[in-house]
Amino acid sequence: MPRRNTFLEKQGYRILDSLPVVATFIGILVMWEGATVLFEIPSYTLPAPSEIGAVMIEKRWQLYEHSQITLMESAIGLGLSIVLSIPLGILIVYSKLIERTVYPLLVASQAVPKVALAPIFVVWFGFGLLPKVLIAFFIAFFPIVVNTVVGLSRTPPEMIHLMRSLGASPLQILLRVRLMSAAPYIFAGIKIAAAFAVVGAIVGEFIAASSGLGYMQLVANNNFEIPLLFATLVALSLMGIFLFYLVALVEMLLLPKPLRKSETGLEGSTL
Amino acid sequence: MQSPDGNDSNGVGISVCAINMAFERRGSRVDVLSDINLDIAPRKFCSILGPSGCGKSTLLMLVAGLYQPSSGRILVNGQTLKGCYSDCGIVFQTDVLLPWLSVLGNVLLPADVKKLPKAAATERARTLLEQVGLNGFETHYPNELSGGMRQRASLCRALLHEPAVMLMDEPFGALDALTRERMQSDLTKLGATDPRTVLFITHDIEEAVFLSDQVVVLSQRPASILRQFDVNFPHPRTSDIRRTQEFHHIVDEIRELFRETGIL
Ligand SMILES: Nc1ncnc2c1ncn2[C@@H]1O[C@H](COP(=O)(O)OP(=O)(O)O)[C@@H](O)[C@H]1O
Ligand SMILES: [Mg+2]
Repeated sequence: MPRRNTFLEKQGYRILDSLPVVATFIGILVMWEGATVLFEIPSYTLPAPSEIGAVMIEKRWQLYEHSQITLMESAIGLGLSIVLSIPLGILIVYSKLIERTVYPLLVASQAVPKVALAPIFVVWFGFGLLPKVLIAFFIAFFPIVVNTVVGLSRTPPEMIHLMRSLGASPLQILLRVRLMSAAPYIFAGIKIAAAFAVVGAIVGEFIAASSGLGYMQLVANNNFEIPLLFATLVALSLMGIFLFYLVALVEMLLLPKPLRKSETGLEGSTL
Repeated sequence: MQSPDGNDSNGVGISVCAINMAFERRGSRVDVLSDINLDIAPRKFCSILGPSGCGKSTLLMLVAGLYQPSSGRILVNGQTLKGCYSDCGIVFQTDVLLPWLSVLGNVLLPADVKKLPKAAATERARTLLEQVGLNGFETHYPNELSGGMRQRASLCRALLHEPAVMLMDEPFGALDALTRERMQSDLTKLGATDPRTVLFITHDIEEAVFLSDQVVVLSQRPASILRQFDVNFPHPRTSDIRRTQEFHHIVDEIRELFRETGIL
């Protein structure tokens, strides 16, 4: 009798699949821990994982509060970049004029290391939330625009012919066919943008801030609290992973199954 | 039956008048069609036969109104075609199913775009799918079907809104011989041919003769019409006619024509 995989079985397989990665990760932690003991590496050079863990537990509230600030800055920056990039991408594909004027400038502007804009933004917008959000936005912006443009222009022409032959309006073609076939590219762009946005927020905090994980790192650095420095790094990584999977979750909820296997159509994105 | 453009069951005639077509790309110019004149009577089945790359698909796109000719004009139902002709169903060379829609969703696409009554359209879609043996696959995605099943679904989609004209571009070209023969019979069963005017593109001589009332043979690019053949077997046709003398006679004549012009 043919058997159908139940949901639980599938989840079971997924956990089995990720077992080697988890095992490797634990192996590295154990070796790290062992090395710090064996070679008597001082904690101010490389703290042991157990020490970092202890600091994370001890300073959990502080870490939690500062994470919230950084998360807010990155999320607003990412949100802004999503809301503005997708329409801009559509405009670039649909308007020859914008494609020839704005798009080349946008591509050329990527030669500017955006991280280096941070001090200027601080001068312009002060020490609050705004400059961090703007830096996060500026860094996250481009991958989404490029992926939207690439996705929209890779719509198979036969699909557009089909829609036109059915009497579909340009808006119907955009909504029902082009955006759908571009969706995997757009989501791939947003996933990259999510990681970039966190980088933007931290860089902003490095330069001028009184809160956030970047600020915490600076303080820990100045006070020579190296385990805390590593603890914030862990918090930052967890935040990046959280944002990535949040985007992946939205993708899973929004897109029908055949569109979910997103490939990266990213071209020329830099920090 | 009353179709949206107001023509009745007498059907829609197609006239291709002095069509020339060239593609221009970065200064270089490719002549594809040269002085094509062609009349398809209402409710007749016309096949276009020609070597690969001669401009058959281009001709179909022109009749659909998806391309504009370099010169000449196309009359559908006595009216000069401007823009797309939307009372037609197109079956493309590849199935062109939208991968993110279920089989049923794909077949219902014309009803969605044209905002036809949902319940009646769904009913018709299910009937069509059943006729081609795709019942039970309504909720599957296209990537879960075989090539033959996908092309059958795209045939159902083209027929959903009961178009007066069917345009088919080598619809069975990518299928194996067995599936192809089955689908040739399916065409009549589905009513893809009966009250409709059909333009059917193929490079398979026997397929053309088996299905058509009229076979148009094109030359190599730039394509012009070499000759037209009338095929007078009664409809509906069964595979029996493939064994008749007359069938072989026409097939041989077309093959001879290809040989003379160096196509074969
Ligand atoms: N959209 C297009 N732009 C430029 N050239 C085209 C286009 N479509 C077709 N052609 C050219 O026209 C010729 C005929 O193409 P096509 O009509 O597809 O041939 P067939 O369907 O008979 O194989 C080919 O040489 C092809 O390169
Ligand atoms: Mg072709």
